Amino acid sequence: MGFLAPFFLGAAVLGGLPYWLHLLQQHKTTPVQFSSLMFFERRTTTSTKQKKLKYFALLVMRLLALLFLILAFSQPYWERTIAAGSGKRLRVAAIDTSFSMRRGGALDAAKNMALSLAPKVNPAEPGIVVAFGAGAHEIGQKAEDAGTFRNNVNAIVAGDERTSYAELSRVLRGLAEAHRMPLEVHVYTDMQKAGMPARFADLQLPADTKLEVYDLAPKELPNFTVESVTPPGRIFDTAKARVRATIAGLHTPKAAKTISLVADGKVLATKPVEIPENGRASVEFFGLDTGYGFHKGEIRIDGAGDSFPNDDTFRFSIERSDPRKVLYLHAARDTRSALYVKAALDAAVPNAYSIETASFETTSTPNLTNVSFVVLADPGGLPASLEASLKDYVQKGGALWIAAGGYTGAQAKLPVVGLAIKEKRMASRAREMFETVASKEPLHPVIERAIGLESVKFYQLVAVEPVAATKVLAKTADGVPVMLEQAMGEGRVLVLASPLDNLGNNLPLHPAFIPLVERTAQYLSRQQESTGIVAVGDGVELRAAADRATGVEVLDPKGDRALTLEQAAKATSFAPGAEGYYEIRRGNGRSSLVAVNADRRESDFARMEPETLSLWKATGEPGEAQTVNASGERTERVSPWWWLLLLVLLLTLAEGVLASRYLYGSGVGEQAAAELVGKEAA
Amino acid sequence: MDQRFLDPKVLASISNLELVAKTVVDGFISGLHRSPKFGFSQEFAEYRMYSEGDDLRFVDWNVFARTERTYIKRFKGETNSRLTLLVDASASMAYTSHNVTKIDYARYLVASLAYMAHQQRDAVGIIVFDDDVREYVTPSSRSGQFRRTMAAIENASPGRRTDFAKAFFHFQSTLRSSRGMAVVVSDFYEDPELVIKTIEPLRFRGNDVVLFHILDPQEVRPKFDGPVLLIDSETGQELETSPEYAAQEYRGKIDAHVAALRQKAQSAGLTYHLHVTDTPLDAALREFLMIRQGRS
Repeated sequence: MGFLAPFFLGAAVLGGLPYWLHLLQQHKTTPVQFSSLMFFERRTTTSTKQKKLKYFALLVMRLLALLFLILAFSQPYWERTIAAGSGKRLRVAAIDTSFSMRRGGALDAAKNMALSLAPKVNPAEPGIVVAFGAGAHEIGQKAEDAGTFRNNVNAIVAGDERTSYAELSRVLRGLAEAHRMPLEVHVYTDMQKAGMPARFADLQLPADTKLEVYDLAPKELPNFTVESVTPPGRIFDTAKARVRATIAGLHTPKAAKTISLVADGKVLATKPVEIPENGRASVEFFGLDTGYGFHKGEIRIDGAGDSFPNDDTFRFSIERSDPRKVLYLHAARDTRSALYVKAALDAAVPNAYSIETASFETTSTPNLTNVSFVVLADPGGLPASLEASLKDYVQKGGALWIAAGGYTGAQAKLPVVGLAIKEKRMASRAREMFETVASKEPLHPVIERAIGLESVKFYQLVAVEPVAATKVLAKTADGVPVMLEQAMGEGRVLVLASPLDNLGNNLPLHPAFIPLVERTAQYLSRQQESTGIVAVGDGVELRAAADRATGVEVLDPKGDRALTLEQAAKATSFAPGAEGYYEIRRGNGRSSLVAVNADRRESDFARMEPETLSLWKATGEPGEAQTVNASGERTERVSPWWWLLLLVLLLTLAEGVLASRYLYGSGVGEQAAAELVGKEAA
Repeated sequence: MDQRFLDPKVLASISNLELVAKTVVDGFISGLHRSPKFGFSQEFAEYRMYSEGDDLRFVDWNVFARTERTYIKRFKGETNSRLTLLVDASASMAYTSHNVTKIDYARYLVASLAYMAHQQRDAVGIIVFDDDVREYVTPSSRSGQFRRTMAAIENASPGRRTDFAKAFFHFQSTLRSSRGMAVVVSDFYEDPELVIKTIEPLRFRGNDVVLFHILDPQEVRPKFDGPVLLIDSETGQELETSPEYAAQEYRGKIDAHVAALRQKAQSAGLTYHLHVTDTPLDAALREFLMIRQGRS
């Protein structure tokens, strides 16, 4: 037995402290004035004896607690010898299946090298095959014979994920824990620096692990790649569509390349680009002449001439559709609000919406066919036929945006939705009396980007009484709703408790107005904001949690269903594992196309430094707590320090209980004094 | 009854002793369901011929107008005699374990009794003693007597040690002449036999004698957290003792002392009452009333 920190034992002299305190306690008497000593007798000896007995247990506990604490800090240990026979190792063949391993048969080379381990696999020293990319997982069962091991290695297929050595280390730690054997790990990888984690500690290997890394890539391989593409996502005017791409040369000399814009396999445009040495260049394409619907787009480097062609193409998806129809109903006197809303929508999403304006006075039964949403600008009291048709439209899944102004505030109820109006708050703009938004639902899609909404000055507010089905999105300090959402049948209604005409507030001139109008239009027309491009392993949102009842179907690049039945019914997101185009069919009949590309960090063949590799290997070497002798026997130091701390805790608790019992147990209750008096009174 | 006004803790916050007495008595009386038969107020008892020295205020001038004879109206209260309060002001009476000392409690008690007797036009007097007579106000029902009594009570501060025999020897002569009621208020830290022997002669002269034994809660049931060095407040003697002794043997002794006092007092025809200083004063007042009514 020894001590890892023996100098802490010097603190044992502190053990005398409780003993000294106890000695002090024994001779301590408190002087107390008393009326008469007529009935008192000297009782020093008896008192001390009883006290000694009572304090003895306390003293022992305190001394033991202190002693154990000192021992815990000194870290006592004893050595446990593990027989040589038990020094067998679990052989792990970890094969990198990341996107970069698709280069020139690198994966096949890795598998072939791993197969050379097969003859060494036997029941005493079994073998496990691990494939790792962004995640790591075992292939097949633990192999106790060469055949099984070979089958497991051959079952590995190439992936499109990025490398993560941290994930590999995590799985290795799990294997060592599960099999309770030291590991002999053979890693077959291209040693990309990009696969290293941000924290070196994440690479920690299990104790007593031998790590052997097999390098499968030549040094600093030059590579051209399409690093990123910014497509429009949805286009309404093909002539105005613009696609921008960044081409990167990694460890490459200066070069001239030709970049093509491809849609559905057809080359639409080609542009030359000069890529500087080890640098980047941008290329921009104007005009995307495609038909209506979803299209599979690509930006391609023609004749890149590098050894890794898989990253010379970058996929994206585009949708061409007609502008969505918006019906804007306003009072004849209101000539300003429609202008502000139109301008905001044109600025945010040009050509995405076509706004038809009409006045309440001239519209009794509007044509609501194919209308994405309707805007009611300060409607006041609507004609009964118009209100009935709007109600019917919303109940059947339509959407409505009501901006309540002074005329609406004069009514008892908000039209269409029927919410009660408590009061109309009017303030003079000249006197700068206004109200502001004090709290809002920051995650609601309509206002999450309306930054600075709190500084908008509202001079007119219509105080609407919310009901149970009403969701207040923003309100003033005294709780008056400024924006609220009301569910109505299958439709949505958003209410702004102030007009859109720049008279009742300064919202139309505020920076928050454009994102607010854009997101409102998007929310009401039920469009999902998506660029249509994700990286392998990243999540694609399938549905909001509230819409779980609707099924979602995902078709992978081969046209197969990518989700299980349970995932199709419940999953809120999906992480594609391979490159290609995924078609997502949602329950409400809408579908979208998502282009999935491999993470472009995989294109960089900069390699892990040898020093880093040495350090990684060193994390698995037997540490101070373990030594291996000449006969292969391992001795392991076992320290009971945390058991000692546990004992200290228990002793402290017991001491507390005993001490409190002594302190409060010797006294008498307050009622006792009254007993004698009561007896006398009786 | 509104016990709050009889609670010693409440009374301790009132600095004016007369107000304390009035508060206690009025609070006590207002709580009774029917008026006690004091006879001090309007209850006519008898007419008596005027004799020299009588207060002219009590002459019934209506009778004089009809009969040309001077008669004095007498009330029931006037049939009472005298109340002598004997207050122990020894050093041990200064002891307290809370905010009311035994001497304070005794002051409230005798002030309330004096006030109540004054209301009945009894002659009230007071003797404050420790090992000697320190203050003596002769019992009288004259105007200004109440104020003098109150002043004496007010001035009763703890002095030296108690010596019943010596003190009582001095004032026995003053109690010889007439019948009345004597109230002795003390903590009686003395041999019960000696106490009773000393006080008993008062009874022989036709006095009703009441002993009010005042003790602090800590004296009845002492509670110490550890060994203590006790210092006697009268003698300065020091004694180390243990909580266990105080919790067991001491209690037995004080209980025996109280029992002996009560038994010997009853044997001698004295009335004995124990009061702990955290209990309301109403029991003492009720005792006084019972004796008072028995005499009238």
